[in-house]
Amino acid sequence: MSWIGASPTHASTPSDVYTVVGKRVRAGRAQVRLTQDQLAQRVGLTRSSITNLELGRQKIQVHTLCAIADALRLPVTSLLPDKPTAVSSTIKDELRGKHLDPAERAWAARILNTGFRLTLQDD
Amino acid sequence: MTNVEVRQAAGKVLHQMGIVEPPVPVERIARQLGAQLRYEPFEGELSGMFFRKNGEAIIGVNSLHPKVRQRFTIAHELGHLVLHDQDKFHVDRSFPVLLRDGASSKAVDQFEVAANGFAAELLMPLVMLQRDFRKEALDFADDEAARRLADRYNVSLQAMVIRLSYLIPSPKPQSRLA
Repeated sequence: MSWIGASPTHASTPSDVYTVVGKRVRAGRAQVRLTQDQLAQRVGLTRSSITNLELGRQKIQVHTLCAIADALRLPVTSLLPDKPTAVSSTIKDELRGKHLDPAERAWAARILNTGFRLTLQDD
Repeated sequence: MTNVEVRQAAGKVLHQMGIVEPPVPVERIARQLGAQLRYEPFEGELSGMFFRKNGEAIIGVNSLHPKVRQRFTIAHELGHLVLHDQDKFHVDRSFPVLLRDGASSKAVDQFEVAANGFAAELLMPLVMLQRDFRKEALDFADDEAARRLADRYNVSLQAMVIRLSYLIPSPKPQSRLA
């Protein structure tokens, strides 16, 4: 699955975000060999919406992105741009997204040594 | 990824590191594969986590769990490191439920099944077990043999029993009258 690493990773403007997401969806779709039509059916969109979002022209909604990630059998985070310059906020986002209870999350944060344990209480 | 490929991946790691005898030094393997090991106590079932981002790999281990379980946790997380080259963050609670092949069709679970297969082969390599069985004429079904092997491989009795159960050929139906 090295294709994830091969896709663009940075997103410095809002439109870059949708370009990256679109490319990753397209790559993920190729990986599981779904057509745009098939993916559209699974997530309740039209084929042209899939085309547009893969081109970064459509601002995808979060629940749609989650449904697409499920259909592609990928963690939703793998469809999102990386932010190598903001490692701790990336980790924080990932910790939030993993259905961990607060104690588990605090443990993971200690392992990752990020020092933002207290700020995690706000979600 | 097939079972054979998973087993070969584990075998390759052992071969590269020149490990031919149990107990397999799983912490050294982790370091040599470039993963950082970090230990933190957690009261509960949570056993470990794996984090990889931008080439950095971190394996977290619940330091309150028995040493043998910590070793399995590390081996399992190394499975993710070696088999799954995707950036990821995930936390493992308990492994045995996912040991069986085809237990689930979900892709995430297939990752876990593969990581468990890798861990089993890394810690209890088939070739080493076969050699032990030949050398000592052990009986697969003998509890005492499983216990001795668990000690020798520095794994839990449970892990060894499960491992052996996969290696035992299914008993042939025997004629009771023979």
